[in-house]
Amino acid sequence: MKASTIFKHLLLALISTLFLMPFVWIIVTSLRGPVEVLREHTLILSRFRWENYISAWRASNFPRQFLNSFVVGVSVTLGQIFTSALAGYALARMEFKGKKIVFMTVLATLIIPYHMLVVPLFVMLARFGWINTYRGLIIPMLANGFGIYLFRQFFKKVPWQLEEAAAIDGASRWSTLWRVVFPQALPAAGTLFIFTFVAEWNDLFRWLIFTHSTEMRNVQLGLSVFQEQFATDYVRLMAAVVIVTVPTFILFVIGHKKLIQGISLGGIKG
Amino acid sequence: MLKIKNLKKSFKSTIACKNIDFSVESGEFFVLLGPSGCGKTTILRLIAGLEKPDEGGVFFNDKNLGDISVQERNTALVFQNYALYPNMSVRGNLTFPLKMRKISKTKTKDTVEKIASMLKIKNLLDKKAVKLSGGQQQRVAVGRALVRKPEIFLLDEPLSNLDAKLRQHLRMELIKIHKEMNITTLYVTHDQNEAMTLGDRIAVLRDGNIHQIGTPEEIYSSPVNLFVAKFIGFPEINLFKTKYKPEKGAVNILGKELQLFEKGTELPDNTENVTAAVRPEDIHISSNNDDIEGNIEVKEVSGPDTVLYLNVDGYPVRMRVAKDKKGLLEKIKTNIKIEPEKVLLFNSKTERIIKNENIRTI
Repeated sequence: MKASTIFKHLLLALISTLFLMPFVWIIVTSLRGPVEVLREHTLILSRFRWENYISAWRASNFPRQFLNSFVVGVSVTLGQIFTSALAGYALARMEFKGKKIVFMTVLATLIIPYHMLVVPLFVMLARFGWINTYRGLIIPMLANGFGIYLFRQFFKKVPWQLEEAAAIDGASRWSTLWRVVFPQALPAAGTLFIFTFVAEWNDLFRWLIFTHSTEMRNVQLGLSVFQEQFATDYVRLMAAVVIVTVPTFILFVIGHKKLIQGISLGGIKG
Repeated sequence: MLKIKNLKKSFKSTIACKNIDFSVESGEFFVLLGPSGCGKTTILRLIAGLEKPDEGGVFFNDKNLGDISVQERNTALVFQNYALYPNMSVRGNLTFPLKMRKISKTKTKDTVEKIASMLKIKNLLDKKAVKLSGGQQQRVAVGRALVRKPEIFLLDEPLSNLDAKLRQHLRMELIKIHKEMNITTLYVTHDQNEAMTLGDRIAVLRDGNIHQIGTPEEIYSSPVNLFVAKFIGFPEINLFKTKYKPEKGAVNILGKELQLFEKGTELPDNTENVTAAVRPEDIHISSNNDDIEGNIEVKEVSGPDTVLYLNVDGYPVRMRVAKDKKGLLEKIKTNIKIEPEKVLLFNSKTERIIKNENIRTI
């Protein structure tokens, strides 16, 4: 092995260690005893206390909160893919008046921070009576400027002939989009799925404001039961953090190739 | 019968085609031939309904196709780059047109298997279409077009992305398939060789206009103008700009007088400036030393015959002779003779052929 290769590997190992350290610390902490956690500052465990996980799972209404996170996360994610593909297709392939302005507006939404919209959104949802409901959590999130942009870029690169061939074969524009054009943008769909789902799964702010009952809260808010005014139950909190991180971790393991493909392909052509 | 009436189409300020008028008999193999940018593909796209004509229309069995959408026209088109669906297997590609027409699953399966065995791609059915070689993709594209038995079969330069040998092979296959299925076929190409071998009739196009429609023989032996004469045939036809002398009924070619008509024959409109055109195979080696003499510059031996490129006093002459001409390949100089009855005369100004029943050749 060449010296430069060894150096590169060492550097990568060092950076990886830096990134992995917090996760290792979380796992180690989650397996400690309640007194030990405050005393020990090493990675050595005297005993693996797996019972912490069972205790953490029972501490709050986690089953229900997992369900909430899943229902809202999956609905928002699939909904965004659907609306982004439709809008992206229109912006990539159809001619209509004001197309440029629409596209610019879509891009402009990317620079508006979500927090700015919270107050007007809360007022609207309150008037609809949608506070503390799935509807209120899902419907306002169903359009995503980034997703529209991503699909537009992908669709622009799909050869016209494919669509023409499909039309000649008897396919309507709708079936051409879903059967021929959309499959060419699967990396985009994969990227959007991972980005949106992870963002939704980790979201705390929106749930904090738009829900108020324990039954309607998500996993991230569920973690707060371990934090009290004067004490934090670190052991069970870390155990719960591990449990809550598992779904996104699995998603990354399955989808990281598509994710990289989606990001790199999407960036090539303007 | 497919009738194209007075078709015109322009894109912004460029006219892609105009005054396009022709009809294709049912079951005929009709070729649109022309250099790139002559509008031949546009005509195909207008027939398929992928473009809307500015003027004129397309009629099939006296029905105007103008109001019928692309999806509902029973036309099939094979694209130059095949345009196979990359996400589908060969079977998926072949099934797609039937699925879109809501044909039952069992019938679809039978039809797909049948067309696949006809095109010899049955063993590829479960492979991804885009993973195949060019020739195989070509077959799949043809299969996808034919699987639903279209009334009009359109092909846009389907062989141009293949190598020469495969092209030759698939050309023969296309002729066989056409005979078997007997579908009205329109074939676009810039390759005159393809056009001549495939077409029942050929339309020669240039700059969006049809110059001539005829059988391959007609187009080869009596081109209507200089463009058609030059475009068809390899090596290119020999052209000699010259003057016609009515009192002798003759033209001067390469310094020799060549009598074409009876003495005293006037050309229509008393045309004087003419271009004489002679096919390379209508020039022969002569043993008479009085005949035109030229230096042989290049010899191309191509199987049964040899193409000679001569220089006659600075003027290039192309001729095709049988391979077995004695001692030909060693010669540096030769005498040549032109067959007068094979000479085509064009008006140098209008570039149109001079043809008049009153003119009798001798």
